[in-house]
Amino acid sequence: MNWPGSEPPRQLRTSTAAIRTVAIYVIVAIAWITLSDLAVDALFSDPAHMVRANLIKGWLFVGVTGVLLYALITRLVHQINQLVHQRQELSRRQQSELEEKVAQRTAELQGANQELDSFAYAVSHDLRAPLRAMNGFSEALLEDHRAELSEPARAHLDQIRIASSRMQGLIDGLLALSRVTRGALERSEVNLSEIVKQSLHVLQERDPHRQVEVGIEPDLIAEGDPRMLAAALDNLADNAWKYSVGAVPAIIRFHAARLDGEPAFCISDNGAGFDMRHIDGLFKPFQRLHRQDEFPGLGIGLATVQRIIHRHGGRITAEARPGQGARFLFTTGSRS
Amino acid sequence: MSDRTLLLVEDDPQDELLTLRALKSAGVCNHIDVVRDGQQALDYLFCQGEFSSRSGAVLPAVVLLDIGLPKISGLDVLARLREHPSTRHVPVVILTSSDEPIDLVRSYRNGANSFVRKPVQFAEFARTVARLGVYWMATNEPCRGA
Repeated sequence: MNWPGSEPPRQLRTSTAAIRTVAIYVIVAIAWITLSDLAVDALFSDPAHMVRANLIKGWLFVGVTGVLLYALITRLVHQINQLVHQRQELSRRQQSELEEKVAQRTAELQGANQELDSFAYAVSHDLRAPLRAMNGFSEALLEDHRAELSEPARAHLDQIRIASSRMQGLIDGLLALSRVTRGALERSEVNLSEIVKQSLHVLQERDPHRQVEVGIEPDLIAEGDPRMLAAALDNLADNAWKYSVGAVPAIIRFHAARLDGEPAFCISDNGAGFDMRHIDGLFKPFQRLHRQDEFPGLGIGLATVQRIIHRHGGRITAEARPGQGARFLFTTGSRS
Repeated sequence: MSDRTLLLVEDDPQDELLTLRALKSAGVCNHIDVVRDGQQALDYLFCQGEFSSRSGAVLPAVVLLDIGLPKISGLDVLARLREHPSTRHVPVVILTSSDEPIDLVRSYRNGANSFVRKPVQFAEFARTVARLGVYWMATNEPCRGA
């Protein structure tokens, strides 16, 4: 760090400086008193003159020490002021450098976010067209030339269509992930219990033969963005529903809990669970902990949930054991 | 079958083929014109530039307009059509891959008569386009003498 202006004042230990100054003063004073007394004795013989001379040299001593003291204090005060000034200058400069850096970083971040948004937008448009072509022309091939195509050829075309519909799912998921956390976060009171109840109700209607025992603690309220929290809970309920398909009876619960002492919410199931060794990949987009032939999926749901919780300033963790279900605990940044 | 023309504004050649295929199998339009960017669409509809020979021709029964077009975007094409008295009432259907809410809002604000998302699955795409063809070419009564 450079000091602005003049050279920095030399650092002295306070006691050394004080002792040195006092010592010089004492020596000079003793020398003055002794020598001046001798001089007065030598120069004057008349007692009246001697008294007068002693008086003058006394005043002279007071005057000279006064001037020296004045010079010393002035110099010290000047040095202190200089130091204070330098320090102020420094912190002012640091402050403005800091502000500049923050502004710059904010602008960079906004730019990056905008770029990401336009990237997602471009993906939504430009990836869908070729996909539609792949799907469409394999369909057209089947329609126009079904008779000429062998059974394996038709099966290959089916694979193309399956792949294109999976890719469509990936694109939609990616877009949902980028869209759900875009825009301002507007907090209001959200009844999480109602959202979970509604999500599970929809899942039950879609899958009427499933027997699921549902336990929801009523009226758990969080402060958050209603749209985002609904998307997060939909995903969590969806997962609980999906992964508990093999459990008899399947049990899904939603209740209040604590996460490291903080009030939190918990959604749990007694389904397939997962191995905690793989938890690092749990919330990463497109990272899955189950094979497609076990549980089909895209690997976007929990990434979306985590982004939503993080945007709220909350935390999310999971606990699970293979074959014994999973628990997802999350906070929403604030809770009433 | 309608004698009137359907104008397809589409820059993606494969989407064009698929749309034409779907419209033909629906069997509702005799005559389909295709232009491939926003400028061409305006030239066609205002009978100018390379389409100046169309001068005096009737407007298409419907314009199927993509949003992401080269040169002039679909939304700008739409806005210019709505500004001009001769094209103010031509039915315009936005047919796009986009499902961005902002595109939807802008389309209607700029005067679209309909907003239709192109499904990725061809079977659904074909059904959607066929329904559009039937509705706009056979069912809908366009504004005449405006």
